[in-house]
Amino acid sequence: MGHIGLSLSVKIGLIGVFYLMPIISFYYSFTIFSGRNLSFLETEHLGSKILEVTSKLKAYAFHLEFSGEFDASTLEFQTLMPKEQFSEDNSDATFKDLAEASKNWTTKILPAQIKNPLGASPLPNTSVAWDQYKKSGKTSEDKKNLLLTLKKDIDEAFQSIPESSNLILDFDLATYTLIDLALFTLPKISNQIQFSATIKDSQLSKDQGLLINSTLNEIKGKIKKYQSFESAFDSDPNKKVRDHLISKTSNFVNDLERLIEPVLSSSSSIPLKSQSLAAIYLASVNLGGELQTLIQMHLHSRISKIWSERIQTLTLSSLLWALALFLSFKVQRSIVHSVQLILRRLSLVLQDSHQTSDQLSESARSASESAATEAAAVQQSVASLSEMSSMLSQTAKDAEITQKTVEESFVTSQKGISLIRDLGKTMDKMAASSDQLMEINKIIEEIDKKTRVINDIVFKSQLLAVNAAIEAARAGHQGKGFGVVANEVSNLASISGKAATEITSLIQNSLQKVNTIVLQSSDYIKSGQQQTIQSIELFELIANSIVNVKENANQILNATREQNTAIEQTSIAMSTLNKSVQTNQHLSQQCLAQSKSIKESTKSLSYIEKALIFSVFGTLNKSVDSTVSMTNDLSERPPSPLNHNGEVASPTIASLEELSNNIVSKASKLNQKETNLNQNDANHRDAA
Amino acid sequence: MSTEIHDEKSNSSTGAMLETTDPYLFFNLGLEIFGVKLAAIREVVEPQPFKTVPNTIPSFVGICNLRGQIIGLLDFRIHFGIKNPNHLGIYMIFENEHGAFGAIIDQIVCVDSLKETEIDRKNAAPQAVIPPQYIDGVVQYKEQLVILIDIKAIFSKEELTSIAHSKMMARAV
Repeated sequence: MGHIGLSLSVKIGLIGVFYLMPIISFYYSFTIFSGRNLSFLETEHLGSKILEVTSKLKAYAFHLEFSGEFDASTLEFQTLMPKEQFSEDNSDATFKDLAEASKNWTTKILPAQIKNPLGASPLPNTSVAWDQYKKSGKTSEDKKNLLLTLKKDIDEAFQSIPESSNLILDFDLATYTLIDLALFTLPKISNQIQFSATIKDSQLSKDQGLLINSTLNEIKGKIKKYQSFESAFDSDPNKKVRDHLISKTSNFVNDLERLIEPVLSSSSSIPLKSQSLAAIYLASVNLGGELQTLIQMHLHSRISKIWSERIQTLTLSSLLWALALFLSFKVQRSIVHSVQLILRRLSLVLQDSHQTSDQLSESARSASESAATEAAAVQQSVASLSEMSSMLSQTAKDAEITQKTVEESFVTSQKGISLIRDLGKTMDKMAASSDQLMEINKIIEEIDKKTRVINDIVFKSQLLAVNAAIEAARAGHQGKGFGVVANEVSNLASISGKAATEITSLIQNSLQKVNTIVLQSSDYIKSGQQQTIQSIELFELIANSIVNVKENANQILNATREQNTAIEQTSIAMSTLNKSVQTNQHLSQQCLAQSKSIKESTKSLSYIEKALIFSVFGTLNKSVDSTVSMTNDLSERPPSPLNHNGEVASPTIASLEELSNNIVSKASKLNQKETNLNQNDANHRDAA
Repeated sequence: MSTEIHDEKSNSSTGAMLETTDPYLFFNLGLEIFGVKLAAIREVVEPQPFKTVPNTIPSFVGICNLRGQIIGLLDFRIHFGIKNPNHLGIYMIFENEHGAFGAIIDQIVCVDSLKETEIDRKNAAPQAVIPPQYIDGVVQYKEQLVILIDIKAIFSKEELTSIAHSKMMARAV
């Protein structure tokens, strides 16, 4: 369905593009031909207005000139003048017109990007002169001044327009040159001729001749200028007339030059025939009139040119319209064809749709049940996750405490190592003192040797005493005194022997004790030194293991933090999961409801299909092809509000599309949720 | 090793001459204390270097030169079966008609006078260590029974030869 719908929209869009094409082309060509945002009508209007005003002004000037001061001789000329009726009111209206037209021209037509040479006021001097004229007595002099001012203003306005400006075409400039020639330059000659005819008694003075000559030169220059715009008149139908008039003007100028040649060569004024003067005058006036006609022709051709461009544009546009119509018809045909294809597929799909809707309702019911189970499981998981999170935070606290304790114990172990090293030094000192003790032992042994000498003496004196006693006993009564001495010696010997024995025993005891002490202390010192070394090693091992424990504690802390964040993420994921499961549940319930409605829709879809066939083909009997006729019994038409025209089809198709879009969107949502659910599950597993 | 030489003045001061006292030398052989009449002893000397004489009884350890006089040495400790013969001991020198003899004892205990009444001459030799012909008597001295040895009997020629003879006979058998 999707693919056909896309192509259909593209086709509709194409139709829109086809219809938009001629509109765009029309607008584009209009803007191009209209002279770069410049309104045709405005330019045209201004041109005609200027022409009208200048001609009127000219006539008015003549009227002024020949009405007041030159009453006697004006009659002749008046009869020759164009019959223009002028009144004071008329001239006011003309001025107003001119002023308005100029204002329009300068404010509206001249775009902002072109510097406005006319300033704020389109004709600044004229408006001042106009005010003066209104205030004054409206004499002929005032009017003459006004006219001259106006002419000057217009001249300036034209000259100040840059020639490269987009606003003014060459055509327009040529027209203006022609206007200038016909209305301002040429009359100068007739004025001079008239002046010499009336004032100088048909005498042409040298000054006049010079004036006329300069005017002729001016005319020549203007003709040249006009001819420089020749290229603008390539497609002009009045080319012959124009060429004729230009040559006529040139001839006139040549004739006049020849006429005034003697005046210029001689020093005095020469008389001229009044008839020849009149002829020149008439010729000039006629020439002016003819040139005015040419101007009119110019303007007409300009207008016709504009109109021909418009017609060209219109023709192109209408051609494009026709092409667009043709193309859109083609596209519509293709759309109708695709609708036929859709119909065929639709009838196939309808068959499947019946089965699918049944299956869908079954699956939706089971999905709803499983979603409920999932929701319960997810809530349990969320609860256990929060427990886990709290446990983890407790672990993190414990880990921090452990870290602090480990740091303290590290410091303590370092202190212990330093203490034990001190102890080792003390042990070395003790070993040294033990060696000193061994020296004491030697001293004691020396004492023991001396004591043996005493013992020997004691033994000998004992023996001596015994022998003395024996001698005393032998001496009998006389030896009694000697016996006492012997006894005393014996006593002394026994006392000293006793003391020596005590000394010996003491020395032996002390020697033994010293020896045992030395031996024990050396043993103790050795074992103490060994133990000190061992304990230093042990303390270093402890310090190392404390460092390890510290690192481990850090790792535990970090791991706990990471776990905590992971758990947080998991809990976020779980809450998302929970939401999605709930949404899923809701969706599955919706799906159940919608599957029912699909069932209903499928039923009505078959009726809609029939309606569609009817609306597309206009009749129920016409079968699209075998498939359509096979799947639809058109005689069993439902009592639906079908009119026997095609209009019903569009809303039916719309509702069908709406329904199908709704189903598709729901299905895609469901699919997305399932995908999210799977992802969350995966995340949860990873986090766990 | 206490040596006491009691004066006989106490006995004489009583004035009763009925109880005669004689000085005795008490000495150790091992743990036993024996006594010898002081009058029988010529002198006591410290141990001298001696030379063994072959073919004699084991107690006759040899002869030595004491101030130019050759003296036979009899070890009482061996003679009376007391074990501890390694000790150098003290030489008691006796003299009789056959010459001077030395007896090796362990230690001198003391010199003391004994009353004749204290000495039991009849119940001789309760121990079988010393033959009865050598015992002069037994006395209770300082809570101990002390055998008084008859030196003359031991060093008589008959006795010496008989001993040697009996020993030789015993060895021959």
